Amino acid sequence: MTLLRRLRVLRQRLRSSWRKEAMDAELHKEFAFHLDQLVHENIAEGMPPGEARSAARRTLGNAGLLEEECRDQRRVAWLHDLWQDLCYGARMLRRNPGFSIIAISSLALGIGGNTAILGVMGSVLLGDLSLPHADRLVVIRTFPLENPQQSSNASVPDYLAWKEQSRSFEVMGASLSDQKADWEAFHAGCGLRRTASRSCRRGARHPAEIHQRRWGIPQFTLLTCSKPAGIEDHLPTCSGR
Amino acid sequence: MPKPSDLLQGTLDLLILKTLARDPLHGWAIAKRIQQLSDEVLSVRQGSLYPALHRLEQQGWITAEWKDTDLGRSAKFYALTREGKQQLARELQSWTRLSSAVRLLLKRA
Repeated sequence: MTLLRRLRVLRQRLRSSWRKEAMDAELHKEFAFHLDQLVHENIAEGMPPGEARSAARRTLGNAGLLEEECRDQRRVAWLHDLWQDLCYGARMLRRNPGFSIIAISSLALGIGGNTAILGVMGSVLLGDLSLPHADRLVVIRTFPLENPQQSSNASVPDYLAWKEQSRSFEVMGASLSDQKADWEAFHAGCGLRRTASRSCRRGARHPAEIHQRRWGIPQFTLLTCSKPAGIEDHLPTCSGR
Repeated sequence: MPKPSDLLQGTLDLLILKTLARDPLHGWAIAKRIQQLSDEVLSVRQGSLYPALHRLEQQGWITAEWKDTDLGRSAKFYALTREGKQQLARELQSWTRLSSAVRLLLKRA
């Protein structure tokens, strides 16, 4: 649709919505003109004026219905119907206050309850991680090619290989399970000793205990984009690899 | 004289657009001109003509203006818009395709 035509259509729609009375009057006038033309034609054919008008009315048919059909072409009838329905609804509510109070209370309770539950779900389950650049964090998992739905964790050798060869990630870290074999494989890969599994952030205004599983690289750097202050030095790291 | 034929479904828009291609006309004159130009074969009833005119106006193919007739009466004159001319060309093309297909069928069947 060209811009000009779009504007023309928009103008028609606006006019049909806001100047309905004026348009209805025009419609009425248009049919009056048509009727008069029919009368003139009948008179010209030799009919007496009274008979000519009656015949013209018969030819034109149900003018009200015809006007209604023309109004239907305006494509804004739904707007008027909607407004009428709303007015009707408001009148009904005013007429039956008891029913109105029950209906409005039920709606309020239903909407309020839903909002509360969805609000909690949204912030707890769907909320963003409260970390800077959370949108750039990804979890890397592996899956068998023949069954992509069945994802699982990566093996330690895979992780070490990715870390060394991948160029798509700024930083990569691993969270190790408590299985001894994993942990030892990891240490063998990094050349590190087994170390503590918990650490504390100190010196911050609001000291926070950070629970962690056994992590393999400066995870804090990965998650917070800054080198953590006061982290105990015995965090297992794999830097330089 | 035989009764004028009812219009084939879908051809009314084409007839109205084509009738308005020459100069702006009011509803009554459009109906009369269609009847005259078709040697009284085609007749457009008011019940079809006016809803079609209003639909074409809403679609932006034609535009309407209140003007005085030769006899000094105020009437709603419809005129083709620029987009309406393009639509007329499309409708003509589609009509030509349809009518030649029907002619072919009648010849070969």
